[in-house]
Order: sequence, then structure tokens, then C-alpha cells
Amino acid sequence: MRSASERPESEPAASVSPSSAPAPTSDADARAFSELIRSELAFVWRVLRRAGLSSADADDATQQVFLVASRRREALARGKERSFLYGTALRIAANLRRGLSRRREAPESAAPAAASAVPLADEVFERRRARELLDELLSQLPEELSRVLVLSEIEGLTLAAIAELEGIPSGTAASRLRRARAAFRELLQAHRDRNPFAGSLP
Amino acid sequence: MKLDPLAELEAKLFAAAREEQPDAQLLQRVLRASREAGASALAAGSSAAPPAPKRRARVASSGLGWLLAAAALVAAGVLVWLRPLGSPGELAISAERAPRRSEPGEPSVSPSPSPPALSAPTPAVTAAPSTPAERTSPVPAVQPEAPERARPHAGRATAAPPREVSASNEAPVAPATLATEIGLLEQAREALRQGDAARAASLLDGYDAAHGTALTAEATLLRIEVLSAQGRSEQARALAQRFVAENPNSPLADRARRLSEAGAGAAGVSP
Repeated sequence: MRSASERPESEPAASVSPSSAPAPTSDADARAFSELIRSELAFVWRVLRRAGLSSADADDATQQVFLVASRRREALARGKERSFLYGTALRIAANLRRGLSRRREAPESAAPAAASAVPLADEVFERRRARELLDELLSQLPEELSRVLVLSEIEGLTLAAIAELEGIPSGTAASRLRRARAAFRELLQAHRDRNPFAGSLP
Repeated sequence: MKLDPLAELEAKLFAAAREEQPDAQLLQRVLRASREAGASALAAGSSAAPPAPKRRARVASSGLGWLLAAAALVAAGVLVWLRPLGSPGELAISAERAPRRSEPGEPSVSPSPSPPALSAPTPAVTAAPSTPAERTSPVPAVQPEAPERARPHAGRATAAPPREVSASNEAPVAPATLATEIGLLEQAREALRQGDAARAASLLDGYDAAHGTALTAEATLLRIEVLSAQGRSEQARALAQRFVAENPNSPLADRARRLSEAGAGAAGVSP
């Protein structure tokens, strides 16, 4: 609804992109696109991961995102590359989630309990468990809250950047982020209550 | 003071996610795939300088537009006359640079008067204001490239079709499907750009038939535009509104909204 319509970036793209041919790629264009891939790949991949895709699925989806982008370069050349990639990533993630049975690296439901019960062998494993718990909790948040939380806490983006990516006003982004933090805290607290040993380790 | 253990745990979770990085090979894989896709776009779109879409609005409102329309009438008349001879160029003309929404009042006029340099052995009179029946025309589900497409520029007649997206690499998530999806949408977009809304609609039907999943939003937006180009503004608007309602936060929602408005504007002109 709403404020998305105020977003300026899609003004020109709206009328042009669907009906224009795939941009022919010059060398400079190709180089610029490669740079874009290099600079945004990790961001896109993490967004996909936190959108609920397994690591392998996120790999594939990342490739899809950039393939779509490469086919829509004309829509990218407006300084809004990240917005485009972000939106594409979310759509692809949603479609993949719908189409695939969600395959995570570990069964989500078992993750929190296992986290408290299984001694962690090393740091890597510990981080992995942390991410599993994080994903578990994020999946319980409404999507729009989960997204802003990820953008803020994991990607370290400012409210303005979050608002732009989400296509919402900064005020809305701020209030969503507030609610997201509060809701996440509650979920975390509930998790700890259920898993008393989870205080030090996820 | 005691550190809030919950905050500590929370920080740990977020930090773990921040540190997560994709496999180093993914970068190479994506670079390679995009290079291949770029090469295919270059092959297919080398003549892409697309004058049609932008010209459309202007042509309709200018004096030159009337001139062109008159010339088109003549050309169309000649075509209709020649049709029994089975001139293969007739559809080519209609698909060529046709202002894609000039059809409402004048069914066979939409084609521009440009020379029938290209051929497309497709059913005749597709340029007529499309009807629902036309839209649901049979579609080769996944292989829509069957007939050679009319292309806007003669020099491009030999260009490779844009659908071999070579997105194929090791992606286990049905790379062929993705390539097919991209190919279908690409062709639909191209058909629309050339003014052949009916063909674009057919290709989109093909997309649906192929159960495309990765690019459904793109496909929907294209469908909105096709409907609108076909003068089916009500349906375009309804679809756009549904899209916006279902994807309010999508960066594409804006475009859907605008397409819907454009459709509303065009509705006044439509029959």
C-alpha cells in the first residue's frame, strides 16, 4: 500500500523496464555489473539466508537474483541497485520457500532444544547453532518485522536505508524496528524460559 | 554491573549471522552465470535500441501520428488485399514497432507502415484488438520460440533468439526451469515491445503453463501491461490492484500501481 508509491526510483523504471529489451552489454557495463555482484553478493546471500533458505538454497537463489538483475540492467542503472536486488531476493526467496520444502541445515524445531542440550565442540559449530536459533526466532516474527530487524541488526543499515529498501517511510521503519526488537526479545525470553541452559549458549 | 544475559545472547545470535559469508565459489559461479546471460543478451539484443515504447505516446498525439496512422491504414489495406496471396510479411508488419495501444478504435491500423522486411509465419490479423479468446490461445508450454519472431530491425533478423539464457550451471534448483522462465518472460517483453500484445499474452500463458515460480511477480507485472496494451484496462487494473494488495512492500508494487493508473487512463480511450 501506501508510501511505496512515493518511492521515486521506480518512476522511470515503471514505464520503461517491462517493455524494453534486455540491455545489451558493453564491456564497461559488464565490468560494472561484475562489480555490483562482488559488492552485493554477500548482502543478497545473507538476506536470502535470513529469509529462511538453507545455505545451498541461498546459493542458488543468489544466482537467480543476479541473473534477473543482469536481465534487467536498465532498471538497475538508477543508483537503486541494492533496492532492486533486495526486492528480487525477497521475491525469489518467497517463491522458493513456497515451491520447495524448506530444507535447513538442521530441523528448526529441534534446534533450540538441541542447542541447550548438546555440548558445542567449537566456535564454528556454536555460531551455526546461534544462527539456527536466530532463524527459528525470526521465523516466528511477522515477516515485515523480521526483515527490518535483519537489515538493522545484521546488515547494520540505517533507518533511512531500511526505509528505502522496504519502500516505506522512515517513521514506519522506525516503528517496525521498535516492534521487531521488542517481539524478538520476547521470543528470546520465551526460548530461554523453555531452555534454562540456553543462557550462555544458544 | 551485571550484563543482561538476554542482551548478550541476542548479540551473539546477530553476530553469528553477521559473520556468515557465502562460499567463496559462489562469487565465481554467479559471475560466470551473469557473464553468460550478458553474452546472450548481447547476442539477442544487439539491436536493442528500442524506439518503440517511448515513441508510442508521442506518435499518437502528434500530427505525425496521424500521418503515420493514415499511412498505416493504407499499408493495412494493402495487406488485407494481399492476404490471400499468403504474404508472410503481414504479421511481421503488425508486430513491428506497432504502437501497442493504438488498436482500440482501429483494429488493423496499429501496425506501423514500415516495410515488411521481416517475416513471421504466424496467424494473420493478430494486431487486431485482442480479445480474451486471443489471449488464451494455445501456447506451446515451454517452447514458445517455435515461429521465428518478427523483429523490429531488419538487421537483426538473424540474431539469436534471446531465450537461450544459459543460466544453466550447477544450480540444483531447476536451472532449466529458471532459464525457461527468464526466456519466456524475455520473449513476452520483447513481443510487447514490438507491439504484439497477443503474442506476449500467449507467452505469458506459456509461463503459467510451465508453472513458473521464480519470477511470478515479474510475470504478473508484464501481464498487467499486456492486458492494458490489449485495451483490457479493467482486467489490468484488477490484476494490478490484486498484486499491490498481495505485495504491498514489493518494489514492484509501485510499478503495478502506475500501470494500473495508466490502464485507467487508457480506459477512457478504449472501446
